Amino acid sequence: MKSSANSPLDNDLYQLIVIEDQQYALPVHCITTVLALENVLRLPGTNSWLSGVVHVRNAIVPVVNMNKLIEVDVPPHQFNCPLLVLLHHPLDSQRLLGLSVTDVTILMYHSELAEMASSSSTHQCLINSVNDDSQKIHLLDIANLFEQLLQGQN
Amino acid sequence: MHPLLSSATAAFHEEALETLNQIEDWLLSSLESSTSGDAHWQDTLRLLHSLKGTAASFENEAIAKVCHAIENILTENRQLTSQDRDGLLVAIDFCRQCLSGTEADPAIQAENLANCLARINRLDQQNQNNGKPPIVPEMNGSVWQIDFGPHPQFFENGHDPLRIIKALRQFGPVKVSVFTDKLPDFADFDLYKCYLRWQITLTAEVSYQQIISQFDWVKHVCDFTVEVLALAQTKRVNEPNRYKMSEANLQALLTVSHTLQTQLKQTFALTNQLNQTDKIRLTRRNQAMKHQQQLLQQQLLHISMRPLADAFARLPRMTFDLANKTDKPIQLNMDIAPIEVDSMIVNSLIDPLTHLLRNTFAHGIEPTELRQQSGKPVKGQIHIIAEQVDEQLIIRFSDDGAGLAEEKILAKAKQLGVNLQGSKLDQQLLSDWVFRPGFSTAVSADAISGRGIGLDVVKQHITDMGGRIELISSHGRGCCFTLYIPVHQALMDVQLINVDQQTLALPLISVLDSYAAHSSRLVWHRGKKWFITDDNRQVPLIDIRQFLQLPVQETDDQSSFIILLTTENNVFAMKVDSLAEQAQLLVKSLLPHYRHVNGVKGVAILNDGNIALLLEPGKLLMSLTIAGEQ
Repeated sequence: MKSSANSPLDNDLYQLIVIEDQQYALPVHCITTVLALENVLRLPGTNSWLSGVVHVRNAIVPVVNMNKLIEVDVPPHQFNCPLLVLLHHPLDSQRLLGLSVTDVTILMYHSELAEMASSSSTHQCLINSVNDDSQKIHLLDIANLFEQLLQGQN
Repeated sequence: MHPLLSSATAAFHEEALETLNQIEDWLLSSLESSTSGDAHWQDTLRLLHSLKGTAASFENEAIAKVCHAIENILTENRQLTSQDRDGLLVAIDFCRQCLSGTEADPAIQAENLANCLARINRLDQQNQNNGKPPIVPEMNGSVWQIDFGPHPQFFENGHDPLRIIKALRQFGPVKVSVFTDKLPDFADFDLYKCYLRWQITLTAEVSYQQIISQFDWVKHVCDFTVEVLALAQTKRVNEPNRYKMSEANLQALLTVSHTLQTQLKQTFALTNQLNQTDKIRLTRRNQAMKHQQQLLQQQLLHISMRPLADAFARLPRMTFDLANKTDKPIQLNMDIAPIEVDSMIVNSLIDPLTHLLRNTFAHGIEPTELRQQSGKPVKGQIHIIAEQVDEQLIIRFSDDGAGLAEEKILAKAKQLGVNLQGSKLDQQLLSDWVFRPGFSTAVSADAISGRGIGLDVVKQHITDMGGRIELISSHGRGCCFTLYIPVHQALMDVQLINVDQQTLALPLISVLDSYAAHSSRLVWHRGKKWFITDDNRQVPLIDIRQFLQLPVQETDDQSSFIILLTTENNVFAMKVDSLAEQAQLLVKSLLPHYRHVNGVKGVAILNDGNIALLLEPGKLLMSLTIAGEQ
């Protein structure tokens, strides 16, 4: 089943999330739900950015730690991500992945993000990064994030 | 319509269609083998009766009337003729049409109903003219009505009507009504004559034969009729109906169940803020609710599975209809593994299988004359074999027809402007062509083929499921389509084990043996490799902690266990902290949301809702062997 068409407003909206001390912007139309993150099952021999898998909505969904994936420097304190943001592929609502998240904050329009000074992407899973006052907001490339999961051998 | 009523009607439609399918299956398979007394026959009567009642409740008088008419045929028949079967199949189709609501005009609906009933009644009439008895000896009933009318000379040989009634009472409770209408006036009363007759209602699961055997000694001096009022509740041949639920509803309920699980956990965390008494009370309630939530979760997960055979259920009827339509006698042979798979797979297979069957009729099996000319049996053969091999569902759909018409395909390809450079078509090229959208070698489109959308649809459906399709054709000998479909979830018998407080699952089929680590079996090492001696053979002992990337730790041999595992080519052992239970669990592949991980077959859903790694012993051994060598 392909995802239903979203209103232009939805396509233009971004949800800001916080992972540790990093901010990310997710297109709202790709967010399926936000749940408490529990019972993550670690998969042996996989990349460190893959926290593991969880069982949600009758599916075994991989959970990604974005900070580790894009290799940002985070302060060495305890990993605190109690939330799971469940995302679906922009072109196929049946494909799911989860992000382990510290907090879900505000909604922003794409135009607001576009007004901020941007820097080029440092990772294939990021469209770019913008500067909000003193802090960066990373715009996620959801389709590439899904592809990243299927790449590589172990 | 009120939502509840609408949902009830939808459920009625679904159940009714399923009932019609079951009746149709029985009709298609019953002609040579079934008689009116057997269990299948009675099951069908029961199904018809239920459908009649439910249809009447939902004010679907047409279906109720047709069911009633079919019931008449089946209760009066000894053996169905092919004419009966054809007529009854048409009646079943009529019921389906009624359910689909395709005919909106009430006048046409009424006319169709009248035609259908007239056709059934003609069959009924023919059967009655054949003078067939109403009940056969093997028929089983649970409530019987026996009309017992002794002749006036009944007492002459010392017979006693009460003895008959007492004998019937031995089967079960009886309700006896006596009819005194033939009693003469007292002046004409003859003590040696019998004037009474009885109607006995017997409630007992006995056969017709058992009842009439009680009349063996008196049948020449009495009239009696035995009528079944209710059929015996024999065990149904088919599995009980499964819950019916759409994918969307199932997902919604699973989400509710998951949310409930989360909220229960959060509630439990709050108990620490209570005083001791309240804490104990709330903890107990919480545990009871948690148990209920787990039961709900297990039920929901099992609903998502359906018998694989459901995907093939329509094919026998289609074969029957297409054989009549094309005048090609064909035998359909199906060997479907008795497994349950994800209901999405079952739903997605129905269309491709339909197209393959139609394609076989249109292009595969030759007309009778051609088969005779080429020395083939007149009856064409279609074989369908479906089985699960590892994480793949493999369906082989083969026929003994003409094979791919290479010349026609070549000509069609040229007609479509493809430059084949005069090369001979190979199997791969042929396959590529026949699966292309719009490709058909039929000269004109008819009801069965010619629009070139059949095999294209098959390929599309199989690809959408993440599978692939292969075609092998042998000129003059037939075609074989092989469908490979990944299976992402299944029910599996597993052995649960614990390692470092983590639960893991092993396919039970791989477990050869297990014993306490402190047993007398010799554990030894050569270099960095460890072995045990089991039945005088050296068995490698792998370190599961290394695979799980757990820190090295000296395990306590007094409490740990060694499990002996078998793979296709090897036997190896693994030391675990403890053994947990064996269970049949729903297991899911890491696909399609992630990819394969070496040594991991998937994830098992535990009864408490948590998940555990399902190990794949063969790959696990290989993975650790390679790691060891490196």
